[in-house]
Amino acid sequence: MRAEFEALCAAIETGTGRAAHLVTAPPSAGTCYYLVSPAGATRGEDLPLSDVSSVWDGLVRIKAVSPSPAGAMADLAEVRAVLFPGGVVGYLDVEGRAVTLVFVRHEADYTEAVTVVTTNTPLALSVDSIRMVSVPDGTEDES
Amino acid sequence: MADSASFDAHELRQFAADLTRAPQRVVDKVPPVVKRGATQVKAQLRAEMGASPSFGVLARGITYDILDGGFTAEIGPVKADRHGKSVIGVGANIAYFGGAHGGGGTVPDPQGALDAEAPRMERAIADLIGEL
Repeated sequence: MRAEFEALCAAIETGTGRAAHLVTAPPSAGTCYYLVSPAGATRGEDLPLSDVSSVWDGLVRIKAVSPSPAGAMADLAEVRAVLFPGGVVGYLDVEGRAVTLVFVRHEADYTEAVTVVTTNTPLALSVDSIRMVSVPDGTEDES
Repeated sequence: MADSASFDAHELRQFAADLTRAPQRVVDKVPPVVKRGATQVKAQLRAEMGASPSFGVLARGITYDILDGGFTAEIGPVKADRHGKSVIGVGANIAYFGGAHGGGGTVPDPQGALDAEAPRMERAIADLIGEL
């Protein structure tokens, strides 16, 4: 599962030129980046482990963080264009796995109540949900 | 992790719109079904939010509004009153989707409550169809 998430972050970074962090952003992250996490997860150490041969099918949140709401929405739109160039379905390159991404819905746009000390500007977030289905190479996804 | 896209509320809304052209005796029975469903979804959302050690206090801010003459229910945290003043639901975004640095996002996806109620709503509406 971690390999798939790291591949997702790498695809976003390559396609947008902005940093993509898995679950948590370091203090040095700045004010313009992406967060990728399984829905419901809060910290890196809470990521569930699964056997490498198992099928994984779950909801993933992609959050664009920016100093302005308009910036967050634009940055998230850029991710959609990168991950789903043909519409709502995309694919990831992960060794030994066949990974399919499906756009589910746009969730929310909001400004965080916490301010950034250096600029005193609340960070804005724009959130999408996508479905990630990962199966070992050579197997069929029957869902 | 559950697939949260199993219930398409759009189809139900379309069906509710179609029902407005049904005989009045059937139309009159739709709003109570919608209200009952909204109450169930609200109860589950409140229970899930209330179970969170960090965001439990926000549960009281989850309400529903009945719209479209009783054919639509909008359910969720209320973040501002009619004057735009912040109320108890502020912070629900963080509870459901997380903050800018990764905290939060620990309360179950609200779609789950809708998915849980969907079969009951479908049965109730199927019963109404049987009366047509």
